[in-house]
This record gives sequence, structure tokens and C-alpha cells, in this order.
Amino acid sequence: MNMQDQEMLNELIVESREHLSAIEPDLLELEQKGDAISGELINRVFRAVHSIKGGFGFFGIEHITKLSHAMENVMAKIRDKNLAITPEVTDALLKGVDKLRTLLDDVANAESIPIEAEIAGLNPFLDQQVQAKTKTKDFDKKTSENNIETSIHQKHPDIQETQMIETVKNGKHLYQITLNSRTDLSNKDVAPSVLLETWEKFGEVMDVSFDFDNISGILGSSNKEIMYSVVYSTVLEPDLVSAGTGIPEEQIFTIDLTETRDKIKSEAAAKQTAQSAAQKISSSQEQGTSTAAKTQIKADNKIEDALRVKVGLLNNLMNLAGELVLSRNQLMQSVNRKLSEAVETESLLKNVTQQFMQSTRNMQEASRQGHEIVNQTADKEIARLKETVAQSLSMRLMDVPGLNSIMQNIDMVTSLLQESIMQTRLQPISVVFAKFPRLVRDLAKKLGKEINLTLVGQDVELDKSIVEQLSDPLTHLIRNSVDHGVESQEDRKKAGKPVQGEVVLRAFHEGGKVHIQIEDDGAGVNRNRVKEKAIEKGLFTVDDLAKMTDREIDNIIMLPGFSTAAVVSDVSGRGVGMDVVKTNIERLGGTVDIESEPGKGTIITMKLPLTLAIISSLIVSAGGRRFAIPQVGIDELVRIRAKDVTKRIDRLKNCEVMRLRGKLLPLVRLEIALDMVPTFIHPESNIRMVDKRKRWSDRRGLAEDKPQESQSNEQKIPAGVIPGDDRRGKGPDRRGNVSNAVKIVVLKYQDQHYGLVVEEVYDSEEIVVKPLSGYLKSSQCYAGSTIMGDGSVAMILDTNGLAQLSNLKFNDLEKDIETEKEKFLKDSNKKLRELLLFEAGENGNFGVDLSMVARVEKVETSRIVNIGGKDFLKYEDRSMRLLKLSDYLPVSAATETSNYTFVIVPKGSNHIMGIIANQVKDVVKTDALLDTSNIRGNGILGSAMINSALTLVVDMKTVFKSAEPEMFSD
Amino acid sequence: MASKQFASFYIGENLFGIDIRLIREINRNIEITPVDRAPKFVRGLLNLRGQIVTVIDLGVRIGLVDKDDDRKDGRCIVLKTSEELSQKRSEDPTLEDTARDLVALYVDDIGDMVTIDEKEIESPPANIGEVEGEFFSGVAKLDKELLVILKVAELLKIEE
Repeated sequence: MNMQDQEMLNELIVESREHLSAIEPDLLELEQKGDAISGELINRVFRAVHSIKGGFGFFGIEHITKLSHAMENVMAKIRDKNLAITPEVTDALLKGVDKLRTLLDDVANAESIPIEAEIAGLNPFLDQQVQAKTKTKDFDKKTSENNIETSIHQKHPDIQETQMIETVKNGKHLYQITLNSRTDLSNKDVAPSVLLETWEKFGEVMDVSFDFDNISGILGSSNKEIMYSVVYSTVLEPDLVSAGTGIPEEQIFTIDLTETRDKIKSEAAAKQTAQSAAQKISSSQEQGTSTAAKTQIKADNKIEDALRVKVGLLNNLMNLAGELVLSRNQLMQSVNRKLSEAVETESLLKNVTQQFMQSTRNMQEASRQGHEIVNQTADKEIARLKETVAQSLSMRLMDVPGLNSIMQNIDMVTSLLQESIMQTRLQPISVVFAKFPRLVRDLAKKLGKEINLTLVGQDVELDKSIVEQLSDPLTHLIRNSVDHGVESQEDRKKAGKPVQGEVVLRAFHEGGKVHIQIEDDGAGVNRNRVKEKAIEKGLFTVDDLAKMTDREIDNIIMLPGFSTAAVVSDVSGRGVGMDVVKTNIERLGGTVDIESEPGKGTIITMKLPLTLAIISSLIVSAGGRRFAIPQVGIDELVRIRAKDVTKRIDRLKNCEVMRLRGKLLPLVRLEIALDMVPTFIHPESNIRMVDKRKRWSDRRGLAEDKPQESQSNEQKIPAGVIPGDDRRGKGPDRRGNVSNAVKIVVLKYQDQHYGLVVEEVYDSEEIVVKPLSGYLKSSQCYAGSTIMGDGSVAMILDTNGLAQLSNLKFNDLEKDIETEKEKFLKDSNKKLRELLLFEAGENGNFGVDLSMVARVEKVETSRIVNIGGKDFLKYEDRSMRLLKLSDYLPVSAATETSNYTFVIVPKGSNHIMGIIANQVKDVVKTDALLDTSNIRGNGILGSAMINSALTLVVDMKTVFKSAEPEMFSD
Repeated sequence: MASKQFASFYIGENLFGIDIRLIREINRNIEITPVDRAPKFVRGLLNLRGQIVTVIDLGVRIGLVDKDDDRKDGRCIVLKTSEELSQKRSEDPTLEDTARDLVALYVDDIGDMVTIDEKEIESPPANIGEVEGEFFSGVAKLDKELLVILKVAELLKIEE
């Protein structure tokens, strides 16, 4: 085989593979539609198989030819309604497709790959009689010329009307030449390619097909006499063709083109009168072109429009476009800066001119009274100066003509360019999804299940590299759903479910990521089985499992070396499944999550990033740093004026919520979510300062208005304003300041929304997503990073990650706020608590109501005496019993002892008891609501976050009571 | 006998070295953007001509510097990526592997390039000062000071 043949063969293989992947979904559709099949669909399959057959027949690769021929025959029977489509037929055909694929993968050894099984599978569907019929119809040397033309379309469905028209227009003739492999090729020792090459000198070989009627004669025999049917378009006159091609005259048939000529004429005439678009349709109808030919034209157009480009080149283009975007942004910024500078200079110059004019007038006035010569000189001088000023002014104005429009142009073109280049790399996810209907069908059949697969969001596009790597994990997950997820038919009946199981494969965009879900309505994850297995495999202990949530248990499945299938089938259950899926997806920068409801089904969600992509995003800031939020995740922007903050923002346990159109949204403060030290910018001095407010409804106290570095020791938190209370403290209230308005980005999170409170909202910008550094993945709040127009690096926020980090609670917000309100009203007589904050036990933060405290004593530890397991201190000539809070409250005892300790002496107990504190920290006034649900215990009033530490507020009386019940029996 | 070339640099007064073939370039005066919630030893990200580089604070990483004090004017040693080195690594399997991401090591100052005979490299003590030895692959005596050779692969490990 020479080089050229090899090249042709390679091309043919690629083409045939494409044909095969097109056949598969069509066959499945045929099976589904059954009798209601459209002729077009079946023709499409027929044609695809035919092309494969023809192509490989030309190269004499018998196995492919034979198999595709057998398939074609079955297809022909279906087309002619001589055979009903049953799952068995589809099965046989699909097996044929599979085998053809195997053959294509290894064409060199195709002849040694057995195809008997597939042929035997197809044969029962073939009726001998029909075969014979085709035989006579298809290849009869005595048919009239007119008949030959009709048979041209049958034997050469690839020949299009357009090609025939082209031939006529170029004044060529069209011939159908029968080529006998033995007499015309082997005996003359000519390679087919060489022969055709000679032919190409005088014309064009439009199609070569295998004359399949003659194959049946050679099947199984070593006789290599094969008939080819060639359509040849040439300038050679009929009497010269034989000489030109070297083929005996009796094997050459002239194809009558009169009809085509007429069509061209009528078409030309029609074209002149009618509009082109509508006309095309009508004329093609006029031509009576078969549906097959029409679709063929369509398909061919597609091929002409496409071009194979090396992926590496596209990657390069992507990178360059990314850089171009950055440069554009930089350019825009510096030009804008220059322009605003220019505007400034201009107004400055105008001022100068005005002043200058004024002084000129003054001078003129003055000089009028003086000498004439002085006058003239001054006049001249003035005129010159005037000119200079005017000149420089006009120069400013002219700066660069049309700069703005040029910039706009560059801006737009860059955006379009970058978008288009990005699109070249995008592929619809349907590329991967397409193979699943077949997979599910086959698997379900094998397992004796009935399963309906629904594909949603096939047009969601992903970067090519991601699409390619999705195939394996998805295949695995689908297999799992079909094998383990959906129960057997009996089990489904028992559970009262429809016999047919449902599997949904879904793709959609959310939160700047592409989500892919596999949902089944099967039995769900058998958690008990998972637990057993996990213990059995030594992955977890019973205690570990007891602490885990259902979801965590579901996700155990994805740990390495875990498989729950009781029976290891050849479908799945080899124990290397889910963890491989997880690793693969994580390698793509994505995540996998399993959500299951026993008896109802399982949803596996994969979230994939948009790496490599350029996305439009909103730039915001927090703590003086800039962040990008992908626009897809943003619902709206809300700005709450400082004076409305108390009305719109409420506090609920440890979470802040916002009222938005009657609904409550949980709020996340970006600074806090990112563990930054909260800061604010002082409106007067413009200096960034540490913000100690616990929430926006609090007023910043005067004590806090000092720059960070000169912080005083004073740590008292100022009295806050109670939500809903319009009472204001003394001093100027900066909450009225515009810059103090609260800016909230409303973000989507699953089916919910939440508000992200940011410091500042900037522009929307197109940014190049750079993959997240491996070292930052653990932070859970970033989706990637990007380079801003000024060259600095900014992080892209993962809005879902932020919500998860902040433990947002969405349900029952409305109810909670009501109960909170009620409680608040009940407690409202307390309003402000003054708490003494102290530390006791091992890092325990406590508070007691200051009004209950008589005094705090610092004592030497050595003065404390232990009698009978109880601590006593000599205090004002009496002995005072000292209590360690660790004995009564949920805090561990202090491990370290220091020389000094503090004793809190309560009021009105005659100083018989005191509480030991390691450290007395502060006295604060707070209106923080005590959370009574979180940490309960005898002696605890509740807990609250004070100075960003969880503080337990102690009821001293109860503590004393539990220490010495008899002393306090009322 | 084979000798190796090391790039040396300082963290405080201590001299460290890494195989010079791992280095892509050395920079100073580049703006490093800090990243919140990042591991302590990640000083931030920097923009190296359109590519984002993760800057690892070497002092913090090996435990020599407690946390980010106000050290400024440091240098960034940008390392080659694992992919860039794959060719060389196939020729010389002893060459250490680096990270998949572009990574730079933040050090206080750059020292000289030193050529050391492999024989002269001794195995490191279990700890140097208060710093655990897990990151050290060897020690070499220079004229005036001690050069501690770092295990780059260990430094760049990402903990899950």
C-alpha cells in the first residue's frame, strides 16, 4: 500500500468512526419509535453504513465490507417495511456497530478479527427473497440509460444533485463505470489508487461504491473478483471514455443529464424572479430531490464549514487572548486616567486664562495712564502670552483626535475576539451524554431492569479538556445508578414503585460552576450496609459512625477501597469505583457529593469549575482587598442606606438576616467569612481602622475611632442600639454617612439565596480565570484567581463555598425571627446587661451580671486552703468558700496554676462564697441576646458572642445552690 | 566525583540551599497579594508576567519564623514546575520533583551560588536549632558557614 493509499485509508477510518457514532443514537431512536419511524432517519443510518461499506470495499478489507453489507441489508428491509424494528433487531445492529468499531480500531488486522457471530446475528432477519430482488434491481447491465440514472442514486447515494449540476455546468459528461477487480486491476497489475489517479487527469471520480450484489458470490470464497461501481465526471466524449480509462466499452454507461439540465434552466429562471432564501426551498422541491439528498447536502455543508485545528494551537490562542484582555484593561485604565488628568488640566488652564485676562485688563488700564511705548510693549507681550495660553489650551483639547472611539473599538473587538476564541474550545456536554442511552439500554437489558434515561441540559458547554475527561467518571456513575441504584423489577413492585426506573442525567450552570447530576429513583444508599462495610474494612469505628450525619455516611462510598455491592457483577462493584470517580473529578478541580434518601433515590452531584474560561464577574472589595464574584452566581445588588440598616437587618442567633421584599435572607459578611480582622474606613480621616462592632446596627463608639496602631487599652464595647429601637446615643452619628451604607450582593446558593456583605462594589469585568493554586484549595472559599487590569492578583470567590463555610441556615428563618422577637420583648426590660467578663477553667470565657458582683479580689494562690476537698479563703476575718466553675459547668478544669488568682465576690451573700477566676478581663455593656438553646446547663443563663469569643453567662445563685443546696433552701 | 550546584539564600542568619536546576528565576520588589484563609506558610500570590505564582514563605514553612512578622524586602525564588522539569528528570532521576503549580519561595536574602562535591554533603542532624529536620536533606560546611540543603519536594507538599 503506498503512502497515498494509506492517507486515504486513514481519512476513511476517521470518517467511518464519525458515521458509526452517528448511527448509534439513530438506531436507539428507531427502536423507541418503532413503526412510527421516519424515512429520513432510516435513510441516514442506511447511508452511513453504505459509505463505510463502499469505502472499505475499495480497499478490499473484506470483514468490514461483509459486516456492513449484512447490516445494510437488514436496514434495507426495515426501510422497505419488510421487517419490523424489535429490540432484537436493534441489538444485532448495535452489535454490528460495535464490531465495526473494533475493526476500525485495528484495520491492519481486520481480516483476522472474527465477524461470524455478528453476521450470524443479522442473518435471521434477512429474507432470501428480498436479497434476490435487490440483486436484480441493482446491477443489471441491460437496464436502459434512464434506469441507470435512478440506480445511480441507489448505488451512489452520496452523489448529490449539486454535483450533477456542477458537471453539467462545466460541460462534462457523467459516466457510471463498472470496474472488475480481477480483469481491470489484478490482471493488469494496477493498484486502484493508481488507476483512479490516471482517471483524475481527465475528470473527477465522484464516488466509488461496492457492487454488493456481487459480493454474496464471493463471500467465504477466495475469489477476489469484486465489482466496483464508479461515477466519473469528465470532459471526455462517450466514444473516448473507454480509451481514456482503459475499461472495456461494455462496462461504461453514460448517464443522461437532460433532466438535470432542465432543472438548472428552471432554477436559473426562478432565481431571477424570486428571493433567494425562499426560492432555494421551492426549487429544491421542484427538483423533487429525495429527502435523502437534501439532508446529504445539509450534512455536507457542515463538513465544508468545519476545519480541524490542533488543540495546542487553540490553547495558545486562548492564552494570547487572555493576555490581550489584560493589556486592554491596563490600556483602558491608563487612558482613562490620562483623560481625566487632561480634563483637570483643561479646567486649570481655563482658570489661569481667566485670571490672566483679568490682570491683562488691569495692566492695560494701568499702562493707559503711562507711556505710549510702554503701552505698546506691554500690549505685544500680552498678545504673545495670550497666544501661548490659547495654543496650549487648544492642544489639550485636540490631544488625540478620536481617541475615545478608538478605545471603544479596541475594547469591543477584544471582547469579541476573546469570546470567540473561548468558544472554539467549548464543546456541548452532549458529546459525552450521547453514549449513555445505549449504555443504559444495554445494561438494563442485561440486568433484567426497565430503565428510562432522561438527558437534560445537553447544550451546556464545557471546555474541551473537561468534556474529554468526564466520560469515564460519568460512565461509572451511570453504571452504578443502573446496577446498584435502581432496584430489580420485583423489588420495585414490592415497594409500590412503577416497574420502570428513572435515571436522569442533568447538566446546568450554578454558582459559576457547571453542575452535573445523576439522579435515580432507586433504593438510595443503604446506610446500614455502608456502616457495616466501613467497620468491616476498618475505615471507621462505631464511635466515628455514630457522630456522622447521614450525608457523611453516604459519602463514605467514595473512600478508596469501598464497594457495597453484595454480588460483584461485571458491571460494577469491583471496589475501585467511586474513589476513582472522586479523584478524577477532583483532578479537574471539581467536587462530588452524594445525597440519598432511603427508598426514594440518590442524587450524585458533580460541580466542575470553568477553568481556562474567561468569565464576566463583579469586582467587590472587603478589608481593602479586591475579589471577583462570577456573574452567573449573582442575583442582584442591594444597597441599604445607613439609616435603614436597623430596619432592614436583624440578628438571629449567630446569623444576621436581611429583609428583602418581605423575605428574609441570611447574610454573610465577607470580611468575617474570610477570617479577616473587621475594618472600616474612617469617613473623615480616610484611614482604615479596626471595627469592633458586632453588627451594623451597632453604632461605632467614639473609643473605636482611633487608628489601629494607636489603640488604647480601653476595650469597652459601647452600648449598642437595640434593633428596631430608634434611640440614638450622644455624639454625631456616622451611620447617616453615604459611604456607610451596607452593600450586599445577593447570591444564589442551591435553591436559596443569601446576601454577601461587601465593603465596596466596583465594576463588572471580564476576567481570565486562572486555576486555583493547590495550596489554597483547603481554604474552601475560592474558585480561582485572576489578574486585574492593574496587574495585581485578585481571588475569585466560590460563592457556594462561602455559604457552606458560614453554615447558613435557610429554613424557618421567618419563624425563628418571630420567636426571637417574642423572647426579645420578654427580655426587653433588661435591655442592656452589664457583664463582668472573666476566664475560668481551661480557656472558658464567662460573664456575670455586674449588678450581682460586690467586688473582685486578687489573691495569692497560696492563701487558698483546701479542707475536705473544698477550697476556702480567709476573707475579712471569715472563711469564704471558693467555687471552681469547672466543678459545676461544662468547662474543663484549669491545668495551669499561677501565683495569683481572682475571686469574684457576689453581692448579698454575706461573703460566704466566691467564684475563682483565672483572669478578670473586662466589663462590657451589651445588648447581645443570650442563646439558650446551644449550651444548656444548670447555672447557665445562656451564651453570647462577646468580643468575638463565646461567653457563657453564669447565674451565680444557681451555681451556689448546686454547691451547697441546704444553705440556699428558700 | 560529581559535584552539584546550589543556590543559597538566607532566612534570618541561616543559610539554606536548593539545587540550582530547580530555579526558574529570582525576583524582588514584586507585589504579593495576601490570601485570606490560606495556610499560614502561603504568603500570597504574585503576578509573574501574566502567570499566577503561589508564594510560600520558606521561614514559616520550615518553622524557623513563627508567623508573618514584618519581614519585608525579601526575594522570591520562582521554581520550575514539575512539568518543566520532567525532561531533565528523565535524564537525571536524582533531580527533585517540584509542584504542578508555579511556586515561589520567599526568602530574606539571596546568597551566592555554591558548588559542592557530593562527598562533602553530610546527612543532616535530626533538628537544626528548634526546627525539625523533615525538610532537610543534607548539610555542607562552607568556608565560614553551614549550608543546609532543603528537600524541595517535601517543602512543596500539599497537605489535605
